[in-house]
Amino acid sequence: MLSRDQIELIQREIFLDEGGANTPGDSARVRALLAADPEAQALAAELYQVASAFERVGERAPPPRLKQAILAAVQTPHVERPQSINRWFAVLLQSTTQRMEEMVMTKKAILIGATAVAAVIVGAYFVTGYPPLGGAAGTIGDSISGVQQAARYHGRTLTQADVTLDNPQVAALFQNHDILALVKSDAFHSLMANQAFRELQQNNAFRAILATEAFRTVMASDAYREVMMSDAYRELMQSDAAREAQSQAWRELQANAAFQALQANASFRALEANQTFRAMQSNVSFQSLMASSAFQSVMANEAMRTLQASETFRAVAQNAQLSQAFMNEAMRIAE
Amino acid sequence: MEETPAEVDEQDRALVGRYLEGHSNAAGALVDRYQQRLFNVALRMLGNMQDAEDVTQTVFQNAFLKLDTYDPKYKFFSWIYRMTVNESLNALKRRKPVVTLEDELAIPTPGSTADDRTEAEIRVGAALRALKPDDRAVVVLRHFASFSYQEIAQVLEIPVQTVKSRLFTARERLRLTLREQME
Repeated sequence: MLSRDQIELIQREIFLDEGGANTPGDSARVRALLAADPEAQALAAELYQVASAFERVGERAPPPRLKQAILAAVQTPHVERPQSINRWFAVLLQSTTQRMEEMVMTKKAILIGATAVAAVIVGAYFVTGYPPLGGAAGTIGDSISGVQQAARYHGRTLTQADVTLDNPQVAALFQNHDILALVKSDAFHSLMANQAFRELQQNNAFRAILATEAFRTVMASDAYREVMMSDAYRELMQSDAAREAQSQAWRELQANAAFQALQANASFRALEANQTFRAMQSNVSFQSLMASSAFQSVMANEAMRTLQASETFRAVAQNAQLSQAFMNEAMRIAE
Repeated sequence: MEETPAEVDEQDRALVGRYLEGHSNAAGALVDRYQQRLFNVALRMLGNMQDAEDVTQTVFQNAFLKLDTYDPKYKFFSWIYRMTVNESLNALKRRKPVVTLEDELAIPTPGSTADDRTEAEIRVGAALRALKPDDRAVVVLRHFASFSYQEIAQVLEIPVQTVKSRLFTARERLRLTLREQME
């Protein structure tokens, strides 16, 4: 049986490691070993196969958009330096040059758009209290297998003051087919069961975003609605279909002052840098939901937009306890 | 003509200096010098084109943000490769690759036939994924970035002896994995 030293000698002979190659004496030992030992010959043959396979694997060229995206994110030091990577969105939004348009095509830019979308869906789900399952709207504290709930929520039922069911805007949502279809969808259930998404609900930056004036203004804007309604957006969330990212609706949203303000918001930047949020963004369930027709329909819904721009929505978003209650209910439903 | 390590280092320092002085074209030059190499390191670490693109973009963005705190006594290439490996390791921890190289084999690399490259990509990709991430990093830097033991040690901030040990272990694992593939 070959010793470790012998195997290492043969490895070095075959792979010709820079800084670790065999000496002439070592090479002579390898040759002698190979001449005398069938096991060494077999080992060498297999290592040659490894080396050969490596050689046949060519280097890949990165996508052309990569350099554009990187450079778009960079400001040279003599101008104002970005304090976080998200500052480049602010730069992006202030320009109408071709380079800026191409930058919008990057996946990261697209996902920033989805940030607001995620916030919308959370808020919408919360305030609607998920009525279609037939349980008491807003009831929390039910047993959830595999999930340890906070003791203070056990058996507690949300009051009207909590969920604001008597709010006419919320009441209108209860009757809305699009919203019911969305929360019944598999994609939505799948997302609700996702750990990263659940953790995100407890993130202060995430909740702060929901409560900002800029967020409310964006939600109420025609530009945002048009983007969310478009086929281009759906395709965008399903792939990096760059050409679709250049849609007029998307460009208008990028140029929207409120959208710019939202992205310049400190909470928004903190959220984008958050590891949990990034994990959620790369989650298949999340991306699937963003691309679903059910989600698109809700985004196009007038009642939903009105609610998102309302004080009701803002109040709910600011309340940490309600956020926890929402997640308890969401997990019960997703079970 | 290929640059020597010293020339690489000198050129990098010059570009970093120009960037910090406010010359915007220096950023493009640094990206040109490193984006393909870093992208390929990330690709071999992650086995996924999109993840590799994300990692490369993140690395450059972070690098440019931190350039004013970069200590020039360290080599720029070691610094940015280290960021790439670390970011790739972080990505491996937080992400579950959805699409692997086997699913992305439509684009042949220059200089090889599609079938040849495809077979090698599949076999090598699977073998790399069978390695522990730390061992994979050493293999990727040695075989796909052509680093010496010493350079790998600098990039990963580990002793040269550890580089050798990981390479030995990884190559044995690779050999056995490729053998299993052939059976």
